[in-house]
Amino acid sequence: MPLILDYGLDSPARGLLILALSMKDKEQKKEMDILHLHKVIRYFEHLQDQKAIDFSDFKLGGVSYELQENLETLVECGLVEKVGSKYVLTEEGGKAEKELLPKYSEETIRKLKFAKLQLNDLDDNETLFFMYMLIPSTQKHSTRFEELYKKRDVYVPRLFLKGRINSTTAAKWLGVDEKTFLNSLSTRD
Amino acid sequence: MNFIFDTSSAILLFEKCNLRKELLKFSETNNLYVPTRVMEEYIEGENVKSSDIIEFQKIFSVINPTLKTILLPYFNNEFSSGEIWVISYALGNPECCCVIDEEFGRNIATLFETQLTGAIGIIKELKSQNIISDNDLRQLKAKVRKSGFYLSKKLLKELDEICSSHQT
Repeated sequence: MPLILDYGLDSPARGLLILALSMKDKEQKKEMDILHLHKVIRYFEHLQDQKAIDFSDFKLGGVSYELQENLETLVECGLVEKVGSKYVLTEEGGKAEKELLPKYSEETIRKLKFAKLQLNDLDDNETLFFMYMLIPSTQKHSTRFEELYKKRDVYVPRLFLKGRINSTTAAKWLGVDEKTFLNSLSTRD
Repeated sequence: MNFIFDTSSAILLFEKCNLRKELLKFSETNNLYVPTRVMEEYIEGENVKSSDIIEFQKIFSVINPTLKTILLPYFNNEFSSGEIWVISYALGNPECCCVIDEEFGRNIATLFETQLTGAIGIIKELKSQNIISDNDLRQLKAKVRKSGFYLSKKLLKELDEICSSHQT
């Protein structure tokens, strides 16, 4: 497996970046911007209940310098390309993905796929709101949480209607019972 | 065929559409299950009488699936919603089809590649097996809309299509 060794893809950050960029989101798109790359991998780590990558709770919640540095390295190595504000895999990156896939368990791949399906087509505000609510510790140093939380009546139904949260979570995030939440939808739909 | 129902799908068909006698007939040739959690959610609902519960249990067999812990992270480690129990059962019983209408639960069922349908899919089955009467089918759409029960635009459209294909 020359590519894994040549580019140090056995590092969790590099491996996950390559794999995340190889997967399709809800809109069948693979490309990802920097915010969604950080959030998808943070969400994946939350699902895995592991800390293979160092994340800090900063202004935009959980972000990772480690991820950022490794992304830049992958761009320099020609495995990832920046097109406008989005990152995409190059042909070489695609070959690396094929080498990497068998190294990960089915369940690991499923969780990463799920994280991308959950987040990548959401706009920035929906993504941030979702992640702040999902992992409350990331609210701590946030410069955006308060402003987004004030609009929870907008974001929670939107996330529910897009299938990113169930009615139990939606009701919990709004501080109402499930029936009240569902009734509020039936009157607006 | 075996079907395991999530709360909103069971309530929509049993309560809001009032397809009780049709579901009872359907249950003669199909196994219709609800997990204990769904039964609890049904009982917690508005104005549920003991006679309703008896009828509900004539149609749906209440089962107590083993929770598949592999699902927990996807539900943020909570197991109070009906769909985690529905999908848990279907994972252990691949011949069983999940009946889920909430998009999130459907996404998880799809991710785990279980068989999946929704309340509208069951209505289609009732129609294809000539269990649902012409009169009921005509009134169904109005009944659902009048009930105020939340149904996504996509599902309402599918319901429209069944009703229209019947009328033409």
